[in-house]
Amino acid sequence: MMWLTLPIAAVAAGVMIPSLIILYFLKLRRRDVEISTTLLWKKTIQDMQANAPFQRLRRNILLLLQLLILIAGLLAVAQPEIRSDEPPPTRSVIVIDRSASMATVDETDEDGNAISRLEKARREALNYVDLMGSGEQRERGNKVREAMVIAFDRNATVVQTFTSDRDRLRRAIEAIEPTDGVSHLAEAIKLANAQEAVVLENVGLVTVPIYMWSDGHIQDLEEVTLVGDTRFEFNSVGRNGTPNVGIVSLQAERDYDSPDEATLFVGLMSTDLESREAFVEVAIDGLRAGAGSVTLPAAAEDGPGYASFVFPLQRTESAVITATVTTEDALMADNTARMILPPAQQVSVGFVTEGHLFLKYALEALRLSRVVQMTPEQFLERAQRGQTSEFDVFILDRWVPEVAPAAPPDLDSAGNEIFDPTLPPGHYLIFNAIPKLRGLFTGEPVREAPYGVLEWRRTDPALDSVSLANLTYWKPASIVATEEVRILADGEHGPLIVEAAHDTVRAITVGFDITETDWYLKPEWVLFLGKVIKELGRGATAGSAEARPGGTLSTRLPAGVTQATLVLPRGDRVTLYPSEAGQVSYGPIDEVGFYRLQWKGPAGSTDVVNGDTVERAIPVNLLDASESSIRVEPQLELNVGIIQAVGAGDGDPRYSTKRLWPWLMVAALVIMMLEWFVYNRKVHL
Amino acid sequence: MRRIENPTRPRTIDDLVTGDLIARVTRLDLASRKIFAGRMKGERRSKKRGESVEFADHRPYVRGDDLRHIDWNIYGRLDRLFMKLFLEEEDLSLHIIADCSASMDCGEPSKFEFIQKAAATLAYIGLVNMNRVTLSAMGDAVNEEGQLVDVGGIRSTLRNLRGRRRVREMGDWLCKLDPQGSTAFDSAARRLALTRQGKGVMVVLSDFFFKEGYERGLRYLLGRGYDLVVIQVLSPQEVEPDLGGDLRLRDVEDGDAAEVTISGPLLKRYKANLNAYCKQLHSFCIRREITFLTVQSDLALDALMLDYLRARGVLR
Repeated sequence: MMWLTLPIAAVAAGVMIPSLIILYFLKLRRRDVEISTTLLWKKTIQDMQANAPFQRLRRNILLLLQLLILIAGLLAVAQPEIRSDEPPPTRSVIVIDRSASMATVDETDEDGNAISRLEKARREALNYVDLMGSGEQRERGNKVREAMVIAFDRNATVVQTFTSDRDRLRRAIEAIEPTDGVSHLAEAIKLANAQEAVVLENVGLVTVPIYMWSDGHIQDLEEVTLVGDTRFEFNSVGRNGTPNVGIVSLQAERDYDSPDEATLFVGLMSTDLESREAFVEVAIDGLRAGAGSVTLPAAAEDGPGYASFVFPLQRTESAVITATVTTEDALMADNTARMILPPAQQVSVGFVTEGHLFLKYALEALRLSRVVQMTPEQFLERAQRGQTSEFDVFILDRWVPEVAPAAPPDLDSAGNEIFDPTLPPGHYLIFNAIPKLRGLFTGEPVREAPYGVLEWRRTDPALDSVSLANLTYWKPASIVATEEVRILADGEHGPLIVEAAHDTVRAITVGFDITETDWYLKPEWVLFLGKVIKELGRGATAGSAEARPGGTLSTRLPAGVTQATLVLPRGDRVTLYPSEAGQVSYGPIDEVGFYRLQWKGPAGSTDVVNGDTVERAIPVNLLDASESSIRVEPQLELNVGIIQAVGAGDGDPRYSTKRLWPWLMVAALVIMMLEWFVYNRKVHL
Repeated sequence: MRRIENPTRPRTIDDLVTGDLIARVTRLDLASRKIFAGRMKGERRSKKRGESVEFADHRPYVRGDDLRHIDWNIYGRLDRLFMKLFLEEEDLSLHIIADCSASMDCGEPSKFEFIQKAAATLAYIGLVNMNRVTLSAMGDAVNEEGQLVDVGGIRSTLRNLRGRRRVREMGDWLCKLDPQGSTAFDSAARRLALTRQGKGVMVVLSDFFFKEGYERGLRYLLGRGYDLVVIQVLSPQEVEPDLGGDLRLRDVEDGDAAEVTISGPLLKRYKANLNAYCKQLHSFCIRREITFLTVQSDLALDALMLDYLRARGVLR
């Protein structure tokens, strides 16, 4: 038991209890009663006084009751608390999962009302904070207990740095709101360790106990690194067996032969232990386009049951598609998924070359709307006439209007040089030539030798599903790139594929000629070419974008847009300023839904034009089977071993504190009523 | 124990002695452990030789004796004059002293009402048995202005009633009594002792809570040779007080106050003191051959007469 304000109560007791007794002695309100004689009473009083000087107080039930009332009140002033757990360590880190699955409503509070896992986690964390004791203890020389609060989903945020101020900790914990992101713990642990290192750099390596509240759906467990014997307590929230139906994938593919037709694939998942039927509604541009039911298999021990729903649709233009599971369940964030179906339009390519057999055949193999071959002179002529915009993408084969200058010795300062772009506005795929663009320079010639690829951006749309592992090249262009240039692939000799952007120009430069590689006969070559042209083409037609909660929303606006407004799903507006390449970014994203980007100016092909305002909808979906399977993990496998969850399932709430003062006040009230009764009934012992 | 506000008082002898009680006590008569000389012819054997029909003794004739009482048969046999003596039958004097102080007007039922009824019943028994009954009221008298006047302890006395015809007079006198003022038992006893003529049975009805003590007063009465009967009347509330809380107890007679906080030990001590007081009075009386009994004011009068007083030989 702890007493929060014991000194105040002690002082009050020191003053009030003697006062009450003195008042009792001085009490003069006696009732007059006429009796036959006082002869015997006088004698009795004399006898009693002779025997006991405090006879007035002896067995005086009224005074006894009043003293009890006073004592109960004074004890209430001292604010006694009964605590169920040992007090926390002097420093600790409170880590709370705020990912999508934590919004699952499958917990109950003390009154039996349903609450979300995050709410449960918050309450337990608040109880934990209450255990830390108040700041007044510092003045009494007791141990000061400090804590910091980190909330995490895909990203981690320090919502409160180390403090012993319980009010600030409580406010920070109460302010943690659920997001629709997935859970990544590694960053949170790094933040905790980093904060500790700053505070205790003179003390040495001291590991801080970490108290985490989560349902255990952590996707990056292998990346979580705990130092040495760090105490890590995994407080599990949530209950297993809560049924949830969610959309875990949503994809639309246009038919290769007839692009007007598309097929929508909705991947569904159920954690219900019994087979059940789910109804899926599909809406296109906000209008209900169809619905159907899917029978979802029962979830097994090892995982949830999966099913898919296929919906054919016919649409030439772009479309905003929303798929919804019309089932009320514990987690609502995964019941709706959204996507943008790109238009059926295909890319037109201007092929600037003196003649390249492999490229020509490869382009013919791709399904493009138009491929026009031209010489560099013809290209320059078109450029002078301003006719370059009729092609979505230009492919420059071993030629550029002006080659990038040689790399200066101080590369960092070179980035600030102002370039006058020699390429006309447009999107370019350049083979084995380095254009004069911001951040790109020509390096020392590279020795002719077979080189391999070291690393490439596998998640970049331009290289999505393309493997460069089998590529060997001989005579690469020597590209030197500053930080302003995105390096898509690094070869053994240096940057191999880079993406540079400058105002109205976007160019992906490939540092090799296909004839100087072993790639030209491999299918990856055509796949690579197709992906890059598609990506550049999508960018040219102001392509759509997609994002995940917790991540960053990033899209490229048409050239010439200087300002755009992002309307969040809940209606908030954020003003964004595109980079020179037309790139706008916003993040981290908290919730799922459509993020609408609005601007005034040119529109891309998927954009909706309303008067002079252009709008682009960007879908953000949970689409995460791990979060949707709201199973509670009983343990976590970390680098330091297996951490068993504590407090899982039904049981007393962890770190609960029972405040006794209301009960003491009730007791005082009851005794007061008893005293009133005794006084009125003149009960005497 | 507490004083009764506006009590209802008996108005006539019928209120004091009910018909039922009369039926039960009519056959009773006063008894006395001593034989006293009466003043008038009565129904009780006297110490004196008298003129009844019952032979008592012979004695030699002396000059001046009534010739009618000479036993001529003995003169014939012995040739000497002897007087034939007969037993004398005289009346018995019954003196009832009722405490009429304010303290008697306490309790539920009232001690004073009990005393009125007991006195009336005893007086009735005395009257119907042709005894000489005197009633005295102890206490201060009230003058015309309603003020208490010290009258030496005896407020009023109704003397020498005899015969059934005086019952109503006796009842009226008792009904007129109003308990007021304080009791000066010493002076009352002294005055009774000095003014009383003749001897007989004296019944004192009081609570005997006299602050100046009861011993001297009783000794005054004893000194005159009365066959003394002391009846201590207590109210049930005096025996088992129904008080609680913080009180200022005020004496109805002298206004003396006692501040008490009623508690278990205090009440226990009070009862012990009351018991000791009664025992002390009892012991005082026993040692002096005074008939003593303590009764509560809720005791039925027929029980008092038929059981208590008969058992102690006051009535037969």
